Amino acid sequence: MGPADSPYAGGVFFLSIHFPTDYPFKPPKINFTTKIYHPNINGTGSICLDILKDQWSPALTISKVLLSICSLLTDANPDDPLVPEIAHVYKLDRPKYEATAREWTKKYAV
Amino acid sequence: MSDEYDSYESDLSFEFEEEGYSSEETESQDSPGSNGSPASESTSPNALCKLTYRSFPMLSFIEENFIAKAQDLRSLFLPDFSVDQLLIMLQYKNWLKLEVLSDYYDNWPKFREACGLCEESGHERFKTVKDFMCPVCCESGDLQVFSLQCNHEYCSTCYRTYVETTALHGAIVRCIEPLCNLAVLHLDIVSLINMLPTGVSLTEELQKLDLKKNDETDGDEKEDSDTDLLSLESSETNRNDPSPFHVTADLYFDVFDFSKTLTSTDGLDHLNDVNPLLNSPALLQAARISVDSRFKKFSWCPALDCPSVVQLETFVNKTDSNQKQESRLSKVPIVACFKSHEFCFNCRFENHLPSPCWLAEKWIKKCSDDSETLNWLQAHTQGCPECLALIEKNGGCNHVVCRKCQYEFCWICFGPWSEHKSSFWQCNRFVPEEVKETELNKSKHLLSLSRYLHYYQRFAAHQISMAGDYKTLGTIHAHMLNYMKYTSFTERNSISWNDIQYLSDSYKGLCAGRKTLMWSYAFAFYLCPNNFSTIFESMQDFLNDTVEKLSQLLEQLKLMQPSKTLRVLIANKREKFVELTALVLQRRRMLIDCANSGIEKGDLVFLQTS
Repeated sequence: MGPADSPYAGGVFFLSIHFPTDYPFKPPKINFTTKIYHPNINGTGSICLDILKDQWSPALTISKVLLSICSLLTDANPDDPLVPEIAHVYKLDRPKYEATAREWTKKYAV
Repeated sequence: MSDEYDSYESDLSFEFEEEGYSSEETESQDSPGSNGSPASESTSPNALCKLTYRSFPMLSFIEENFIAKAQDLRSLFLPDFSVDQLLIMLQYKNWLKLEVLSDYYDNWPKFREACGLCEESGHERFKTVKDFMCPVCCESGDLQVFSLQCNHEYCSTCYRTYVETTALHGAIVRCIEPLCNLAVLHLDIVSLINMLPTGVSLTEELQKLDLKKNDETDGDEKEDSDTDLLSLESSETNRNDPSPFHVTADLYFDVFDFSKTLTSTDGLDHLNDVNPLLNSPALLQAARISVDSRFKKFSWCPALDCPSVVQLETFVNKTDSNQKQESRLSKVPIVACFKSHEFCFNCRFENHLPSPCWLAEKWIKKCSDDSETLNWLQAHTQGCPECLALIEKNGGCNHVVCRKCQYEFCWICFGPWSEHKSSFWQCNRFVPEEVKETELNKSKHLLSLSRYLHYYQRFAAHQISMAGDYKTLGTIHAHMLNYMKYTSFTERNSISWNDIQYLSDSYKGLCAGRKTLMWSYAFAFYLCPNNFSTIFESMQDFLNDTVEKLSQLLEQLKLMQPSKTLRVLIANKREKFVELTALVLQRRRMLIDCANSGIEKGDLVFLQTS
């Protein structure tokens, strides 16, 4: 579910989680399967999140990871973008970004 | 005695593994425990190239570049810290001493925080906690747990796996707890990894460490433990080999000097001195990264599992792109690692003299790609005129039916067979232009193919022979051992490897000769035929001749049974061995000199092939 205080509110987003054989010592691979307009999530659903890469710790649980993904939806990180175009809009024209995000949510996630 | 011989197979493997740790150039520093005494400088085995370098084992690299720096800092500026803590600070600052100092004086609490160091000490790392549930593996019960000063406890098995996997990133290993910044010190890493296995996931490294412990108690096989230190680092190497030459995995880099290893009785002393820090996989990985990032000055030995590093003293410019075809052999920076594997610092490939770097690269590409298959197809097959499927005619009449499209045609004129049924045999009439063109094309392909095959076969033959020589080496070694055993029985006082050393010297000479021969064929392939290339080829013949003689002589050893007479024989043949080896080396040098002067004077010209 998209967080209430974000343009994704009301949308239902599906994720795929792939556990590598050496989980929990290697991070799980998490992808969005629902299309989403977000500077840190690209068209194929890959998520740019430090804890899924080098900041992974075996003590993290899936619920904690999902929580961080939720907070990523609320607070995007435009300084380390996966999709530079969206990050550009996010930085310069916040209302436009929110409008597009809301539109995509309506289109793909409701 | 016969026992000895029977078991030479096993000796052999043991010998091959532990070739390391000594050779003439590095005697001064072959013990990683000695205070990082620098390896003496060596000059390039390529006599034409003025180049000095140092070569040393990986562990010495760590000592010199990491541990020595930390010790320096400790003795000069920061005596309150342990070497281990200083290592973390250095690692954080990319091993720059000055940066550590400036950050320390600038804002110590902040720097400490960033490094993840902790003031208080005396914390008990390993504990057994009753009814503990590990948050990572969810195992519960009375478990042995590991924690840092932050008291974030996890079961030690998980901690070990965690440390093993994170150490490969080469960064500072921190507490498992996601937001805890505390660093796991290198000594802790080592003790975690050395931890007695609880039977869960026994990694290879651990097995080796255990092996090492057993061997240490076993006085006779002391050298083995040396090896394990080496193989420890090489086994879990997933180093990104920069060399693009994976195709030729069966190259033989095995020219080594094993006699020294056997005689060194002080091998055990080194071991006791080995700094436990050297066992830290995190430091090893950091060293790898450090070497890889300074590739202009440092290089790994490209030989399989060889743990040595070569550092250039004089800087060689990588050949510029506009000088891609730099042919002067004085520009080929051949170096030898401390295990006497010779390689070219420029292309990180085996000693390819007399070929210049670009030629070696081209040759390897040619050998590995399929362009020759294509040439063969063009020379031996023809396309079906209808579907263009390639057809090789291996017999039968000229009435050909394409298997693929069932088209019937004449193999001679490529016209449809229906036209041939009548008496109208047009294809018997001679049309000069057409024939000329196709024949010429075909013969050109055939010629180029056979020319390539000619050189390649010779190149490959020596490569294969080298594999054979490698086997002979086992016999040589057994003989040497026998000889030593015998002499130590009879004349207790005067045991010297020098008496028998010439055998391994001849082997080295043989390998060197073969390698040069191999590459001389690659060289010859790209040469324009002229008078000078004929001279080169005749010198090649000379070398070939002597190399084969030496090889034969060494082969003879293999047939002999170890007995007293053998010892007499070996002693008698000594002169012949020494003489032939010297001749091989001399002719090898002459061949290279000839190639070099030919290139420099412009007498030897390379073919301009695409």
